Amino acid sequence: MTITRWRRLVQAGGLLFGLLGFAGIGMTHVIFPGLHCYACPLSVTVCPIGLIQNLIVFGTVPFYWLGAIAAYGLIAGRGFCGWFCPFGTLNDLLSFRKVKIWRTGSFGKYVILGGTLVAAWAFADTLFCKICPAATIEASIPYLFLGVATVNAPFLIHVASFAVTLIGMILIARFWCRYLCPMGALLSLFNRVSLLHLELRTDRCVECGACAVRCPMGIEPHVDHDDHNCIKCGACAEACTFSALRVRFSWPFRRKTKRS
Amino acid sequence: MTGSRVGIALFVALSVCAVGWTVCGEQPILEFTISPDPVVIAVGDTSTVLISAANRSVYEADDVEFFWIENAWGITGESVEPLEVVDPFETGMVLLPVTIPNGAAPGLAPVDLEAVYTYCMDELCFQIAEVLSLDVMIVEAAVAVAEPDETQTGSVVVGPIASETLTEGSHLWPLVGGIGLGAVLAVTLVLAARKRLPQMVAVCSVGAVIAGGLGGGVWLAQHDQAQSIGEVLCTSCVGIEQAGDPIAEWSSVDAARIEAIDRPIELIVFSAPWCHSCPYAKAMVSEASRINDQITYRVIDVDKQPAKAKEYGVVRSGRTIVPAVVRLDTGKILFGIEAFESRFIDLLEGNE
Repeated sequence: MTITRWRRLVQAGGLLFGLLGFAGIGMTHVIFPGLHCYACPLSVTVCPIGLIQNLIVFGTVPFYWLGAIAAYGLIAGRGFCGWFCPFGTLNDLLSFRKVKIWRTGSFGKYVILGGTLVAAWAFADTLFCKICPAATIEASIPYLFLGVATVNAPFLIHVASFAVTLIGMILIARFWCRYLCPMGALLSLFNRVSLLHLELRTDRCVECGACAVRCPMGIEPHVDHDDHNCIKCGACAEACTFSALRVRFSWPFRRKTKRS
Repeated sequence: MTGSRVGIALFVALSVCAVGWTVCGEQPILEFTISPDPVVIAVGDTSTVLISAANRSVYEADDVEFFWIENAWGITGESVEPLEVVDPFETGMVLLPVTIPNGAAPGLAPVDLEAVYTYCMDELCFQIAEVLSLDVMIVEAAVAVAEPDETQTGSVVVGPIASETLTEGSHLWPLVGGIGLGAVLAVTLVLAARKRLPQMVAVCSVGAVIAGGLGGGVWLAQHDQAQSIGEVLCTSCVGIEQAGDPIAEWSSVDAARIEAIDRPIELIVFSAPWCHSCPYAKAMVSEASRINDQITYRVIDVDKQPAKAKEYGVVRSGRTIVPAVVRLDTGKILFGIEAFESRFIDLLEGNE
């Protein structure tokens, strides 16, 4: 089975995990390792970005949240974006134009993360949730059908933010994950220590750049294999004729990558 | 590489700001308004000012008391009962007597009041003292017959002039612990170079943060807090609708329709303390019950009584939704505050 097939399977698992509510399970203590709205009628897990905003509003020191994020970071870092996150999967399915990444722009997601946290403190409100495009498809629209929501200004803001993101995703592969996602920003901090890892065997690499062409994040795996934008999806490993790239679990201190 | 560093630097700077802000407490918790300001009082006379304390935070403020600070004019007043509780996003009011002693010189007297209250965020308790200023216009006894012009005396927001924050006991340790864990993580992630030893240390310290965070979090019951945050959906929180105007008023047409209802109707309002749109729903229902005394209601806090929400069906696919108004005899539910007036009247007039 190819990496992409495996990934589709895991992504389906992620979606299933996100929507376990259909089995009659209520809300659990689990924090979801991705951007997945807890207001979604079928969600049984808590959205990390929504939760941290609420904790800031409440003035709680977020031990549990920090522990969970560090755990996800250590396991896979941004691998969750490529393999698990349902909103990442939507980005993935629309990855038509794998253009080169705009480096400066990719820091935008850290700005959004910082802005989200500061706004939660300054306005004592979950402002990010009100423009979150994942909430549009997981909360706004479902609640419209459940008779709780109506078409009003906040609904239209949600729809507009989703529409903009959707157009972005169609024009630029993984547009949301590259430039805007605050959850991706959090996980990318762990990319260098995470166990799931993109391994580059420099003795096999001929630097043809075939991997960079296929990369949905528009980075160059053969130049920098632990880029903070790497989602470890393995598209580059599939593209490599010489099997110089692999996605696998390993201890960071056991890896033997020579090129820096 | 630089991505992680810039991101972490940003993250650390933000947490330092947030913590500094928390500790220094510049943001007002209770916002006091005194009206009228200036208040016009004759020599030897007593009048009252209305002090409203608007709570801008998600925790209740307790035991709000007012004390006079000595002034050159000898202006003081009888002490009044403290405001026991001011709920989150709600406003408490106190009528405070102001007495001008005989022999005080007429003219404008800027005097100070001290407001003292207790505020607890989980484990962390503060006693906050704030100085409010009030302008008293002292007039000759004979002149005071003329009432002050209503339109001229607007209310003025009195900001915190000086606030003193006292931390009770040694409840600062969660803050210190949190910063400690965050710092370990930040330093680890910045220093994790592609070398054997730093990376071993990095994996170990991330492991320590995971153990410390999850262990401490579960010990502090933060996993339950996470679950309850996920369980309750407040309609304004994810932008299903906007938080309402806290000043709730029925239009005369709607008020007449409410008044026309001639059978007893029992209602329950479901709310959560941190829900921004709940005070509006509560105020509208309370107002309706004042207009027509056949309408009775009670308020249930879903944070304290989650079972009640299930019992009355204020749950949609596992989510408790607030604010919600339930009519007991028909079992009909009104969610949220969008177009509240017309939907509330439909709820009251509906027969099935």
